[in-house]
Amino acid sequence: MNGTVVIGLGNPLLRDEGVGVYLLQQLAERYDCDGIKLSDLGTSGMSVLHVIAHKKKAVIMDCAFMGEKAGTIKRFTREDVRSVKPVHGISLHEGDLFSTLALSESLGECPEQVVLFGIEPAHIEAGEGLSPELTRQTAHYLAVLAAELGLAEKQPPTA
Amino acid sequence: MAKIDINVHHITRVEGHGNIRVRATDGTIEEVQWQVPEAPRFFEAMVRGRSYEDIQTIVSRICGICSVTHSLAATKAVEDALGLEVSEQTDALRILMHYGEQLESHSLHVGYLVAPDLLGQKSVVPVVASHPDVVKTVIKIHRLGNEWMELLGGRMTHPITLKPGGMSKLPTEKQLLGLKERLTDIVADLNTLAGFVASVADKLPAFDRETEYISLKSGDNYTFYHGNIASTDTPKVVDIHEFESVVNEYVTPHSTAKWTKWHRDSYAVGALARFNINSELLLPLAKKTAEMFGLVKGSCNPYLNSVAQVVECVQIVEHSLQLLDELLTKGIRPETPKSAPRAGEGVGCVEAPRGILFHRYAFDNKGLCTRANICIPTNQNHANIQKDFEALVPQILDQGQDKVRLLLEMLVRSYDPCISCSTHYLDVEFV
Repeated sequence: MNGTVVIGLGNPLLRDEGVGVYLLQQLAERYDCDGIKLSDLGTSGMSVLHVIAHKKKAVIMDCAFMGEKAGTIKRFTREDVRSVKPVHGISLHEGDLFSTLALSESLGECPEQVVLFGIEPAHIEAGEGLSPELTRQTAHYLAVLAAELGLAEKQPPTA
Repeated sequence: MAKIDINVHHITRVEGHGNIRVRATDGTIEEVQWQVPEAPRFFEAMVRGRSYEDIQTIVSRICGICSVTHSLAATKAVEDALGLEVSEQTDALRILMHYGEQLESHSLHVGYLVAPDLLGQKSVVPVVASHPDVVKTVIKIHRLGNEWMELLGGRMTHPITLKPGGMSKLPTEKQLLGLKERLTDIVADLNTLAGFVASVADKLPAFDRETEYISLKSGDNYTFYHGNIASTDTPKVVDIHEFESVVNEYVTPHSTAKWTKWHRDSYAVGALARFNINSELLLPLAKKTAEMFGLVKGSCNPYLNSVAQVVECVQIVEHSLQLLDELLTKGIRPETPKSAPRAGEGVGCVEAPRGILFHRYAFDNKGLCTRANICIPTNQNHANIQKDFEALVPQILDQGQDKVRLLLEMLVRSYDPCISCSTHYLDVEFV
């Protein structure tokens, strides 16, 4: 197992639902991410299985209902939470990340470390851009993620 | 006879799911309903006012599983509106990209959703322990589908290489040779998957209901990408520009989604529909796979949609190998997509893994979208699921609540409805 993958999940056309994808784009723009695979998987939750396979570490960012104040970012692992998302298995489209991670583990290809960052949404509705509640904290989110990944900010080009 | 009260009812925080409702007392059916919320039509509003160059990128976010299909339908509609022709090379590369998504979606559906049913398991996770080779085969095929889309679409989902008039990035011949090697290798795995499904196919319920099936038809090949609209009820083929006269959307009291009908009260789209319309055009290995299952033209058991998907997996790989040979023989020529805005209206139609998909857009002379209409396959299947329910429930009512519920869930699963497809979020409590 080797390497780190950072995954952004969600739909950037549903405001805060797309915060994972938005942060992934911001990380790529502002930080030196050499050596790390960045993956915008949008709403294709099952693709997580393939992207994390045999990696040493996976960091997954997604909008999360956690019962927290809107804008709160929380770091957790699979063991810290229980999924209460109603999924009754009639469609491939009911993505449940925790089932995908369980499958990855049962196949023996799950990274040693899977870290999730959940951001409590303020507004999930049709539209582009994060809500003001989340926008205000973007720099904080990126600092938290950069610390987790040991990333340095890109230096402005010198003349 | 015992009372039956089934209410598979989940409303998520963001989008509703399909609900199954059945009530019966002493063998008398009081209610049988497939209740579904409207699919996310906000995209139609969202593209209004946007440039023709952005449409395919926006609509790719409609669905995480059918993102290539939506992008292709939109790109074709834009090109139709702007009068753009694409090269044979672009056409072949797009069909290849589309096949990657078909393989990815079909293998996921058969392996992760249907196989557990056939093995009496609740999900694919316990199947890893009981049938490790089957799961590993499915994952190998699914992974290939994902990486195939990444190669041609620029990323695993929500492709970024499709542009009006062409492709923004072309694969190298070396990459196509690599893909050819992997596709050649996967043929044996598809045979293994087909063999496994055939070994448990007797677990698929025997339930036939005369049904109208609708799909694309294009003369000389088993099409997912070109052609016009065909039905098993009529020899008449309808031009895709008149798709509204086929879908005939209408509102039903117990669902917020629009339903569709053509010659009957309902019709079905998807792999079984394509098979029933185009099966004589299957390539040899795919034809052989259909024969292995005894799947014949005119099959009207909705549970066999999964079997038709297995046949299509073989067809997709077989045809892709032909396309790759043609591309590699000619060599990849550099191309730059060119387009310019103009007022117009266009239609794009392709087969999504789960059935025929229509996109229509109108643009003003600056190339800004003034109107959009998207008709997804899942909406076209809703009325048919309801009609299947109404025919099936009286036949199985004596099997008890749990079995009735399972058979109805399996029926819905066989269509793989695309609901809650435009979101991905976590819903957790800390322990």
